[in-house]
Amino acid sequence: MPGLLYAESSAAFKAALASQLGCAPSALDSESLVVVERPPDSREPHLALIASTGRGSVVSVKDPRLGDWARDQPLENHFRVFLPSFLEGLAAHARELGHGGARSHSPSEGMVLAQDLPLRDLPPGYRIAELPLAQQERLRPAREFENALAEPGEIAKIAAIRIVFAAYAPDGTLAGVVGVWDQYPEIDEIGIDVAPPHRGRGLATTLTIHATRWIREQGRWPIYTYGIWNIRSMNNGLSAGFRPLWLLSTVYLPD
Amino acid sequence: MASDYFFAALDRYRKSRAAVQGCSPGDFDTHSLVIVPRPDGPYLKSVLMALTFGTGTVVSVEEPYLEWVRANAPRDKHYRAMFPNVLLQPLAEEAARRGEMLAWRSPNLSFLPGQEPSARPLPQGFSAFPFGSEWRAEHFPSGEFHNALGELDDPAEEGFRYGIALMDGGTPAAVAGGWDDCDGLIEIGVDVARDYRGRGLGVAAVSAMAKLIADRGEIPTYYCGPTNVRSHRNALACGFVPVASAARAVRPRPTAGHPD
Repeated sequence: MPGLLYAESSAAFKAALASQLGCAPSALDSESLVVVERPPDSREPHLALIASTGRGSVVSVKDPRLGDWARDQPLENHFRVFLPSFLEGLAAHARELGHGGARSHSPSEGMVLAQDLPLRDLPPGYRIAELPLAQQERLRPAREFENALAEPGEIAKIAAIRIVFAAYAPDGTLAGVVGVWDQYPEIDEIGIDVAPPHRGRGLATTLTIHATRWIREQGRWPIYTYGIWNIRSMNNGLSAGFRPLWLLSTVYLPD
Repeated sequence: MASDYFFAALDRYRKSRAAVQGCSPGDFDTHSLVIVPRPDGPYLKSVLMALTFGTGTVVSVEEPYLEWVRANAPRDKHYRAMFPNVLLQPLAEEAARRGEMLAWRSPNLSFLPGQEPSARPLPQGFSAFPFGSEWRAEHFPSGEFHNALGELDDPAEEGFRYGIALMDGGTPAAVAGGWDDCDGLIEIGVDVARDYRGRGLGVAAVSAMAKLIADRGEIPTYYCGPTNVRSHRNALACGFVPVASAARAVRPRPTAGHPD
């Protein structure tokens, strides 16, 4: 399926990601490992970001000494920066440098849009409407819809939310929520949750397409990410017209 | 769109993984974490394997670590057992306390064909050459096709069944190998020679191999490592659908270095 739209989406995302990492977009297609320092205006807060499109990998560091360590590692291929030995080693070196508690996070995969799909019909009696801000705030502490609404402590992510849509069941209960937030300039990320009693009816894909179309109407590019182990979320992204482009991991300081 | 072929293949795959894990297929659908002792068998090279189809997670672990895992596995969300820093890394640290070295591997992805595999035209100028163990033995030592023909550091690797090579005259340009994946399932490993990359030969080789496997009455499976988004895209382009993810702890092979 990947064609012109996938190529356009990929180019837009790679440009935005490269700007946040501090490299040229071509670094993500360089078939090599590029180590850079994070620019001061980047939105990414973590000690190290490790990104790859499979065609090139970038390690972006806040502390230049971490970059020196990364350059010194004998890696057979550029994408081996995602191996546990590299990620755990980078976190351990960060701790040695005084970044107490530094930890690595296993990779997440990200997709860009490859196909504009039409809106889907909801199951009979269901409806989608914008979820007002007050209701978002009321729902957030319970964490039932944490992918869509962010977790209570995720202050920056909450502030970046652009819109939230909810799917309501025929009896008025909340069946699913999809959130859209400003991830990077020109790039919006989608987060989705469906309440367990309402799963298996295609609501996740319907809500994801709904959010995707809204983002496209704003003239922005949608992205969709998930943990590599999350088969259901991955298949939802595929069903909504997305295709994988990149992997991202971090070395971070827990709150 | 998933097909009858896909659902039949998925059913067989789930049953085979349940046998390998030592659980029942229904344990994959509990929306909870199921912890079972790891049975003996030829497919069991891991000390621990956490496997999910997205609707529950089954952790299968060797007996000496069973009680430790039961005491230390996450209790809130089943899929957190897939997070290396939640279960696998602490297990490796526990093993070190016991004087044993364990390493862990991040979650991989398992794929099955979304439709019954069908023949696709080969890129112009290439021919398909099905091969067996003799051809593999001849080409294995180059190391160029290690995903298809096996790793150089494990020359005694058992389980190779058959394969298909896309030939440019007498030169193998892309090779897909088929490996025993339990109960009539055949795992595809593929490599494209460096000089031939960027011509769609990976997709052509996997598609041809999937058709060859299906023609023999077996079911193709495809796996990609957590680091390999390019392989993930290749699987999708070949019509494969992601069905499961597995993370594991292993004993490093003495000759293999870190088992990454």
